[in-house]
Amino acid sequence: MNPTVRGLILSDFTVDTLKAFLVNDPQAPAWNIDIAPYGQVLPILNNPGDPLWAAHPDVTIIWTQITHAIPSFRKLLSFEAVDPAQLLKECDTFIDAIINASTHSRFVLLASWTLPPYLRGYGPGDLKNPQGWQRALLTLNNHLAGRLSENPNIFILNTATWTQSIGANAFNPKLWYLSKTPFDPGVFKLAAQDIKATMLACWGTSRKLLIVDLDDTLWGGTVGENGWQDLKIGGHDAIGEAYSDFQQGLKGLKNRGIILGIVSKNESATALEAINKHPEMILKRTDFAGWRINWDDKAANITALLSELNLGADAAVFIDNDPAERDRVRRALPEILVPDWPDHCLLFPKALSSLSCFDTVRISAEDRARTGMYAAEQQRREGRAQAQDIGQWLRSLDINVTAELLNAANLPRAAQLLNKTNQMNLSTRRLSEQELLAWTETPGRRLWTFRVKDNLGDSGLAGIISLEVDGKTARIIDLVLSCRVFGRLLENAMMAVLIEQAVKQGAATVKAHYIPTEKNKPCLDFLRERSGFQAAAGHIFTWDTAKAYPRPDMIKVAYEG
Amino acid sequence: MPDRDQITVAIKAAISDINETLPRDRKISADENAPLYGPAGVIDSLTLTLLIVAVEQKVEQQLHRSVSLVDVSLVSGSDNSFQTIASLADHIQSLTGPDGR
Repeated sequence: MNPTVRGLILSDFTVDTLKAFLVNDPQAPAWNIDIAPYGQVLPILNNPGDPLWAAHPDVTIIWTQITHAIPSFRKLLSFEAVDPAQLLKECDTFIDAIINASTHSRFVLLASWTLPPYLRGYGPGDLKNPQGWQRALLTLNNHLAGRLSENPNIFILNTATWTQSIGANAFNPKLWYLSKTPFDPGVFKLAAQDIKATMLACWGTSRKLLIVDLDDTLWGGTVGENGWQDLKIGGHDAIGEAYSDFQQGLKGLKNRGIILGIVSKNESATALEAINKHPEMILKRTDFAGWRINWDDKAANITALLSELNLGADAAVFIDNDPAERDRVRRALPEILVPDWPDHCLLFPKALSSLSCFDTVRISAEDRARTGMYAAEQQRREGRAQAQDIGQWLRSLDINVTAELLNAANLPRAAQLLNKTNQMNLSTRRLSEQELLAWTETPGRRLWTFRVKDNLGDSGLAGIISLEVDGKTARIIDLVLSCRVFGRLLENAMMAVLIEQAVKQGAATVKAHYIPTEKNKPCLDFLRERSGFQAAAGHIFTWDTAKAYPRPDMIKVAYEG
Repeated sequence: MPDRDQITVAIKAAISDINETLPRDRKISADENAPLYGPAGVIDSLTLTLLIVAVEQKVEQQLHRSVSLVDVSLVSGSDNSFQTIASLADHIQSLTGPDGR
């Protein structure tokens, strides 16, 4: 995450309260925000030379009122006849301006339009009437979403969720007439929370792993005392239904790429029997990437599980109904997110749905298959333990790597991997899809993606490496490998591809400049101990291309395209 | 009729909400006699507007009384009801008392 986010807010009302909530929140990230002059949204969006774009904001927040962005909407509110095509035409003008301006900002967050609930329009006929206010509002918001859906750095925030959460006081006429602020401060507070969550997702810092307790968290009752037959899950029972819905929520998270784990004080065999045998269990054993079920300290068990899954505490969330256990884990592992949890299980599904820490800006095929990949990884570990040496083990896996230059099809996953990977990451660059593509369009720059497959499964696009060649020197800009596929000599196979390509482009020397962060020491360890590169001062590592780079012969590499 | 202590609690609850929007060095003091708005005050006009609406809402929620703190003299800046928490509490008490609304 960048230490300070450069933000720009474009609005046609007073947005100082939004800025205040963003800037004065002690939680990261820190913000440095400009507010554009009042009511100048379209002129600034349409002027690439406007000084506000000179700083190239990390995020531009656009929040307008529909009556300002779509002038004909005012006529609707006066019950004048308006051609619906005219509304769409004005909406297109607004959208075109946003798309043009999105090249000046890494990310654009657009707040959808709302109307106060007391604007009743045509009353009960409002949604049926082509001139209905709410009908036009829905149509225009839908048009915004449809046209902007393919722009990878523009996101639409749902203003209605903020106003509905605040309720009757969300729209405040007194604030409007006194200060040109249409909303209650609570609306801006929720908007600031959503904006922060979206930025964390854009930067790939959303959480990846959810660890749950079992008794009175995943199910009602204590399995060791009651037996699995008497656990409360599903059935015609309020408590059982709530646990069932909670499990359904967890299953949904798993389906979109969040890894599930269990840490519970129980007899392992008893707890796993309940998961396997209870007919109302929504979650199956295969939905969990790992577990620690024993009587040891939960913080120690979480640490062990994180190590097994190659993840840091800052990637994890822990849910437990017991406040003492939550407190213990918070104190022992301050980087792990341990949300306050409701006292009553009927509120568990709502609490789970309300978490913003798993927000993501795009779901890739790799995300959907992630838990299966971790299960395959478990099988690999077992195979490694049984094999006599690493060579024998790797040969038994029949690893196939496919190298492919960056293209439109692999761009979203490549950008996701670049932005989410912390450990095996040479320079920890964080770039949007647009920025990554633009970077490769400069002559001398290339970026390859690597898909990894073996006889236990397809790990998907798991590595990227990029090169910048200047005369006889090639510099490795990115060396990124998913933590799921560490320890299989894939980084050496990627290096072999890279050096082969550097030679083709005339490079005599290949250099890697390691930029340290709190988390990327595994990359330094690789460069120092296993890459074969020569180490020099200042974390510089070099390879003389007069020597062929030894490619691990147990990994087959093919080129695509 | 709400007593003055109840009114002060409602005002402080509103100030607590407003303080979420203010930087650490500009938080509004809970001291009832500390300068609030006016020549020696610590809040700007936008924050005053937010505070007015927040206090009205807290009084309604906590004391079940409707008060309107927006009047012409306040908007024009000549009202001194918002000089301190204490003066504001006095003003609200006068609005909710036997002679008030």
